[in-house]
Amino acid sequence: MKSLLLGLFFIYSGAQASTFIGNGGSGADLEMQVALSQVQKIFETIQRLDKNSNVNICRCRSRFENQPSCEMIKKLDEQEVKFCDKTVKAQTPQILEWLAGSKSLKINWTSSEIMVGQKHGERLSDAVTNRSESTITVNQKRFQGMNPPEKMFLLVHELFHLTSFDNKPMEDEGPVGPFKGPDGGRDLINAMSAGAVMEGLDSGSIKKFQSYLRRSSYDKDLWIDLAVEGQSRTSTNNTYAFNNPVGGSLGVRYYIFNNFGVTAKYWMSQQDKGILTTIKGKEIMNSISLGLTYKLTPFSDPLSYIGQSHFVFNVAYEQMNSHYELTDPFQEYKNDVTSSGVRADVRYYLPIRWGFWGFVGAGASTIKYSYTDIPLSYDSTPVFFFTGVSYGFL
Amino acid sequence: MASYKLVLVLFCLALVACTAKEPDNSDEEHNIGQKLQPVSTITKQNGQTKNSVLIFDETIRQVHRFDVDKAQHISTVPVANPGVPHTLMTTDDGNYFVDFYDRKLTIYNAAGTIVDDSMNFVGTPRSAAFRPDLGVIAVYDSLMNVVIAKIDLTGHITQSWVGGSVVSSSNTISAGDINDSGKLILALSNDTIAVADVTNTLSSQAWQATTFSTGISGVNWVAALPNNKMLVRSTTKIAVIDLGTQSVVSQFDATDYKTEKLSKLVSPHVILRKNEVVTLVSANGGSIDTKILTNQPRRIIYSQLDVPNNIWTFVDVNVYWNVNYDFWTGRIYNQIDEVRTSRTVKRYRHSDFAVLASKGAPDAAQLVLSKEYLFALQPSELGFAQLFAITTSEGPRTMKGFNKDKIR
Repeated sequence: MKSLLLGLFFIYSGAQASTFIGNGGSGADLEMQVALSQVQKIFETIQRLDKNSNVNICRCRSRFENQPSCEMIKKLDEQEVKFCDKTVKAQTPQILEWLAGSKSLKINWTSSEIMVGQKHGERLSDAVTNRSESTITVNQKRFQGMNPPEKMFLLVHELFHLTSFDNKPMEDEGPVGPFKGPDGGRDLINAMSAGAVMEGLDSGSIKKFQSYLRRSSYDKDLWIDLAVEGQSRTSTNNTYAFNNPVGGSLGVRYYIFNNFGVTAKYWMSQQDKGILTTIKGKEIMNSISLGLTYKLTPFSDPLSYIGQSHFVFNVAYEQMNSHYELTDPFQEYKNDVTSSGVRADVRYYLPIRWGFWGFVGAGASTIKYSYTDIPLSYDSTPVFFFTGVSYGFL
Repeated sequence: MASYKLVLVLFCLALVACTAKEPDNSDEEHNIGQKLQPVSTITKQNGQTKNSVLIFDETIRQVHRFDVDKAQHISTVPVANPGVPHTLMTTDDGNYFVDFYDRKLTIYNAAGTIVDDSMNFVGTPRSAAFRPDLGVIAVYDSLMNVVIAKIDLTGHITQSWVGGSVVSSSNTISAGDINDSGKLILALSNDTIAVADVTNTLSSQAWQATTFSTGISGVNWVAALPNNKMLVRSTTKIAVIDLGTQSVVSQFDATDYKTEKLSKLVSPHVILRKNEVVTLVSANGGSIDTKILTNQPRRIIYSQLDVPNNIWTFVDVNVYWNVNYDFWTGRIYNQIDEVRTSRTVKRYRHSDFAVLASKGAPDAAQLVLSKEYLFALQPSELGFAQLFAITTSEGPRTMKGFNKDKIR
């Protein structure tokens, strides 16, 4: 199995980036869901074929010519091809029962190597099926290292093991129909799996699922946030005040366990304006905040756009340095003040692609401050509004 | 041909531009008292310096009071109708000040509270003789009405009367002043001098004056002198007149001179010019005293003569193209703040014209001159003023930021 998978479908040599993790689960959840959705689509396509049609599933497509998968099918004789075609179509309803029907399929991840016992010894495998528990156990690391056709092939292969043929479980060992020899069962299942996956790829019906993997996924642990942030605040003297400063922020969040983590942010704003006819006022604010962050993923379908969207709550200690310059042609005042407080905000993130996100948010801070040489006090709780882009990785 | 005309026009323009203009002191003539100014004098009647100066800040259009001893801004008074020109007069001790604006007079106390704003004018106030030590003020307006009033020590107007310009028979006022006795001395159009008793005039609400003739004709400026005397400038003469004997005590023939400056600060005096020769004419006791300064191409726009302290301080400016003169009328402004570039403050010892100090005044500033200091209020919206010592090398003392809290 391992050698076969390594050789299959090398045109997908650029393995798809692992970009989705299921709700609260591991990073492979989304990839698994995508692969299962693709497999379901493949068999729905096969089911729509007329059972008596001349379409051969177990055939080599020209685009896969000279590939190991084709080589494997090419060596089938006419009788084996027909048997393979017939069996795929026959088993399709059973597989769809597992994927979209009443039967409950459970996928387990394992980080251990999977050894499968056979009559002539054990062999290393990427997945193993337990019919009695309706469970497929998959080596997570190896699964995430596969390209999409490889993943589909693996799942199709294991799903065939859940089906019955002639009232017997489909197994790797022993002859089945014209597939003779001790590994006849495996040869048949491999031929059916390769044919089914090629059918799915050839029909184009599974293309759209690939976009799910390109969409940013919220399972990342390290995030960088870049935002444009505006404030609304009130002051004692509106002549000098910048009650609606706009600035930029650069933040980083790191999720340590589950959806809890730490956050740090740098925010900077520089505003200037003319006062009366010759006075110029300029205020520069810099703040650094350190605090806690929590990521809330309330939506159930991680394959959907909304399903990937999520909320982030931040609470942080913020220290701000504010600098004001007041000048006219005859004099200049420079005043600095340092203040601190607690800042809290909530953000809503929407996935874009390739790890990038767009977000909007609002928050408030307890920071208030006054200048000594300039008659200006900001004496209300500032409210923040911001929008920006994020990049999640690791 | 057309090009010749153009060259001729340009030549004439250049000639006009590069020719020294004679000062125009017409706004100092035909006044009662002194022309109203946006700054109060900083010099007391006795020549000493007041503790504080009041100034209408043309930039933020409010009245500031500064302590010139401590170089501190004391207060700012937001005056009524700030958009129009405001002129100020104050008492020696600063317990109240008078604000003239539009056709109205408002009196504020030292705290900036309005004490009295009952007085209105038909014309625009143009000059006033103010003797707070005597509690008397006479205001002359643009329509030649004379408003006479008594003001108590707290700044309340206790009596007032509006008189016309005809004082005696059909003779109208040409110029006037209030003397140390509280009498309003007036030069009339028939070349007579009228001495009006302010108290009686207010009581009877009609001019109560005695007149006499001196033989001096065409008087256009009158300044009260101590000891019941007066100094007058007529079209041809400058003379000292004794009100007691009703006769000319001393006179100077000014026929060939042009008047450059008429000043009542502190000792009344007249500055005459003949080309680049300046003649300072003042009264020394009962006699006319003249002193000559030669080689004086710069024009004097402010002058303060303190005879008892033997000092003469003036501000002069260039008079050529770079001076702020009105190109169309040819008028050269002759008030201290009407030209705000190239101003130089000079101080002479009056007795021998030894130069005691000469230093440039800051451009653009509103200036107030005292015996010790030159006060300069810059057109700063945040507020910026400096106090320069006139005779010492002491650096300027700065007052700044006094408008910061007031900008809304």
